Amino acid sequence: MAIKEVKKFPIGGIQLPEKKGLTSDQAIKVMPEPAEVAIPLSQHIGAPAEPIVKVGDRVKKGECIAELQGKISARIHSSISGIVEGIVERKKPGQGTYSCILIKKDDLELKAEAQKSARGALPEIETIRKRVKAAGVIGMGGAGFPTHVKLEPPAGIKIDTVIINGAECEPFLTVDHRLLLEEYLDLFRGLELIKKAVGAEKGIVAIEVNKKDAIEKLQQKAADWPGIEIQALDTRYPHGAEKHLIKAVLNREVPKGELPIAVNVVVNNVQTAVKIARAVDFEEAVTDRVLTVSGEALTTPSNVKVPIGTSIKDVIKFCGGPKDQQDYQIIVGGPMTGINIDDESMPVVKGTSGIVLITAAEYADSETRACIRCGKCSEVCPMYLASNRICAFVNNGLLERADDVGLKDCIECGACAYICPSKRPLVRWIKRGKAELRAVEK
Amino acid sequence: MANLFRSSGPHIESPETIETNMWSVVIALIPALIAGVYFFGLYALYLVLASALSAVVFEKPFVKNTAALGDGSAFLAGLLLGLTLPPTVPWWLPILGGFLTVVIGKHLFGGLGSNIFNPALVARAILLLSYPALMIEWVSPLDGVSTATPLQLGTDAFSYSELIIGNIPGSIGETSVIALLIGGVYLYLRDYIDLKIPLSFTAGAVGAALIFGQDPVFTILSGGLIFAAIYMATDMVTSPVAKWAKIIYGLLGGFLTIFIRRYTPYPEGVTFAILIINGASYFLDNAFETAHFGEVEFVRKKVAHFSAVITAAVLILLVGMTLIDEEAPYPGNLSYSHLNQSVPAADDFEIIERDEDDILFAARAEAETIKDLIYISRNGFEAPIEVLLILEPDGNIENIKIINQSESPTLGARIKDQDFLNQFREFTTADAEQIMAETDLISGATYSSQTVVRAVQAGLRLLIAEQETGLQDGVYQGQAEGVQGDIVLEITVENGDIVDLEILAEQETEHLAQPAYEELEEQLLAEQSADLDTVAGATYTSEAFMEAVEEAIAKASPDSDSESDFEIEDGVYQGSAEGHAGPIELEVVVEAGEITEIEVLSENETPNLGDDAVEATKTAIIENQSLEVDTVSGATNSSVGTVNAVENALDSEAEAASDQSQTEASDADSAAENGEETDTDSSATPAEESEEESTADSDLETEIAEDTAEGGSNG
Ligand code: SF4
Ligand code: SF4
Repeated sequence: MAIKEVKKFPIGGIQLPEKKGLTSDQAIKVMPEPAEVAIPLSQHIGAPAEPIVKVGDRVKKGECIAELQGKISARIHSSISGIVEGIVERKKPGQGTYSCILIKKDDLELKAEAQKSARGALPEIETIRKRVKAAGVIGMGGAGFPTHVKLEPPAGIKIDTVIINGAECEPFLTVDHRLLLEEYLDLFRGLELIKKAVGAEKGIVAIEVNKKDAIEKLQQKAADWPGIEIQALDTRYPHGAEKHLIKAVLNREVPKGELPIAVNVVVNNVQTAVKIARAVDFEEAVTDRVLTVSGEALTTPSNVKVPIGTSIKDVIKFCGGPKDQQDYQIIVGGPMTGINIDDESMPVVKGTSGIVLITAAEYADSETRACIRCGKCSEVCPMYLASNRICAFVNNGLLERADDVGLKDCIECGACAYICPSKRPLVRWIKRGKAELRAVEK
Repeated sequence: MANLFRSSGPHIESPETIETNMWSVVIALIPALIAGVYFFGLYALYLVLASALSAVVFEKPFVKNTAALGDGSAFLAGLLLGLTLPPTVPWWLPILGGFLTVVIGKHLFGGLGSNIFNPALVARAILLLSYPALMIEWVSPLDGVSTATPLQLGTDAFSYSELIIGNIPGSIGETSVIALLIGGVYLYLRDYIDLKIPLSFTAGAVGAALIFGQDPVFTILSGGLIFAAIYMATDMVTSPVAKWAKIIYGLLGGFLTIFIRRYTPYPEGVTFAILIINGASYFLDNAFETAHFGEVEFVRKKVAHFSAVITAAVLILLVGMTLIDEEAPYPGNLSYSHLNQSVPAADDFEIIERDEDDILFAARAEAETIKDLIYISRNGFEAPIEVLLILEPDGNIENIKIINQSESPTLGARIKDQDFLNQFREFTTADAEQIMAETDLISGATYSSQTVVRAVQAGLRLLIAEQETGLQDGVYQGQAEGVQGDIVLEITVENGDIVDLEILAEQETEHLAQPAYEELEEQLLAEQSADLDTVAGATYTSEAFMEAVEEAIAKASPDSDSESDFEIEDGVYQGSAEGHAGPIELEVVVEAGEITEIEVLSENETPNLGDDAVEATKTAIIENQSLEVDTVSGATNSSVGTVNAVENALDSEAEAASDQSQTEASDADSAAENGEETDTDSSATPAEESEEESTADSDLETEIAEDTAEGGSNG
């Protein structure tokens, strides 16, 4: 089936070297359970979960080990069968640490009961929300917003469209691509469930055209799913940014400082929709996730289903480890928005979409030079910001003026810093400016 | 890696660097450089490379970059400057230019990225102002003959295809539009150029051209406009970043370029136009900041700002333009730059004579007249043909330019062919009447070429007329009898004008005369003539004053002290004029073009006074071979009558018509005027009448013949 209409957001954005070929044809591999997992209590936006197990407790895979706290929070489940060793601190990508429940594998391979019922009619809205909440589903694209909250739009707001974000615009990452191909049934089911929960009539799966096979397959399969459309998107970074996805697909512009619900839309990640389907239909908790482990410095780039809490070191080892004699940098997430880490004991969390081993040669660390006012940064900015100006203000301590020219509007996509011929770390400056501004405003 | 700053993304970077940006523009300029070298020779290549490389060398102390050619920015700036130089500048000028570019234009402002003004244009502006003569000396492509640029020569000097290919005089790299566009396309395809500025710049220029009634295509193709639009105005550091700011910037730049070309002495207006908009680019970025994603309110606010700024700008411009237009000193398409480019050395162009739209200018350098310029406009088929003559002080036509014409492109437009125009070179004022006969008209374009000849002729006549009334510099005395004795005064003539008057001796009643002198002096300086209004209460004194002035003026007249030939056809002529007491009739014998004898046939003047005066006058005329002779004091009427009679005799045409007017020409006034005129004009009538009577205003024998013939046939 030919791809009909290809949409895109109107202004800005860049073409990136994709490097997706390393893993796009690799079927998802399931990683065996590691000897131990360190499961962070706070993998989501909101209050950390409260542990409900003691040291020495034996836990089954899928058993709840930490209960949510307050309205915006998410439950945590054990990702393996084993014994609770205690609470440990693990470094977080970037700054700070995670408090993690450390569980040692016990070889009993116990699993929490899964519902065996076959898929039938969609359950009641309340049931959907309850089961999603119970399974600890959060935004699996990286944002980590608790999904059950998202499925309950504020009163008075009418949601008409649900978009599944299959853009996957970061280089290297092919998780969503593989899920679209391999788990589209869960995806469609998940999308129907979300639609029901938020009361939307329309469901759209938006996919960049660099995943042509996925678009074609889903267009075919969606024929059996009235109410689900497949929308092709141009290959352009950052189509995966929520606001730009909406702009591209529906031509609606989310007003400054607002959420997608302001334009009657809910956006969900592919893997989130899959997890929702499994949570609602099989009452299966989120104990693992699929991520892409890739990079020119890695021996066997792969798409792997990894238990939550597995250390990054174990994952890299599972993928053959780094190539010999390669200097490399480890990036958690994609190379545009991900974080460069230097401690491989960090755990994989629900929002970890990839681990990329970038060779030292590829890694961006050129000397920062003077801004030549080429305007490239403004040209590519999907938020229509002039980041050279924002940064000029930030670097001169003029935070208010920086705010005037859009400091807070920046979505930190990194397009500007990527394109800058003077290799100016624009996004880093903007992040620092935002932090400083928050400190001033408090 | 606790440092969030270093650890956050993006972790990959594009291959673009400052170097790729700079060198790709350099590559884009190669076609223009090749064209420049092809048209202007290897020396042009030296100039460009000297400029570029010296810029690189002068930058070395300021930068860490160890690459031999630096980051490319200095090379590019130097290259841009080099390409805008005329191909004739001396060898050291590009090196100085390279220095000005990087040191003054760039590093004094803080180096790459910190300079407000385009470094190459800063250098160019400094050079233009410091070495105006070197910077506007142009040569024809291929043959290297000195000439002017299309902007100076006007719309029709070159065809569009010549302008596009670039085999025209101009800066080394600016002439070939096609080569510049090839580079532009290259930049566009490699995504190194944003078209907003080039397009809006061109649009601004076209808009201005339309407003000013110029040919928009010519406007775009000439004067380095394309070069500026693609390579100068787009300089990243000095142009705005925001979308609308870029568009406004470009429009403004294009408009200003044409505005400057038209209203200032700098025909290649791009340099100053771009420097001006450079200065505005930070403001524009602020004023026209793009609305951010999701900012609906913001858009409205900005639209309001936007409209306010635009309205204000348009208002200011409109007001400014009306002011300028009211003062627009020149008719037709003539502009100051035409004058300036014709005589670059001049610092002042004074209008000496203006007859409707025909203008005679004196081009002065340090108050000395070095050239005369004459602008003449005559109706062609469609629109006036506007001609500018450049003359040496001796009246030689040095050059002729067609400023504007709209003749049929295939035939009439050939009047701008150099072969045709060159014919006029070396004609002088003396040839004014033969021009038509001695010029080869263009077959098939007879009318158009004739019009040009007529225009040239009219121009020469304008100059002749002016020369006849002009005074020679110096100090001259005049004397006349007042109420109580002689008034002796002195006039000072400078640049052909009476600039001062001094009373040397007088015995008039002081309280009456003094105010009268003052008033008369004022009038004299204003009128530049002895024909003044008498001051009430001091009528006699006033008259005496005028008479004395007249005498002085007569002495200052160009021919008063020079022996001049009448060059009249040999023969015997009779003439008469009213003397003091009746007509004086005489016979003038001309041999070999000279008056050899004057025989008085009859006169009735006062014995021993008037008749002596007649005798003295006729001797003086023969001696001086001029009618400009002193009158005999106490017998003015007799003297003047004699002069008039001789004049009348020489003017065979006027002989029959010798009318009352001549008898009226018996006061001192007309004597002086005749004196000024008769040498060059055989008409015996006073100047004001000769104008009505015939077109004759030349001193030439042929003219007399012609006049006679014409008079005869007309009669
Ligand atoms: S891309 Fe870099 S050099 Fe260009 S304007 Fe932006 S910050 Fe300056
Ligand atoms: S990081 Fe911010 S400023 Fe830079 S392109 Fe993205 S949104 Fe624009």
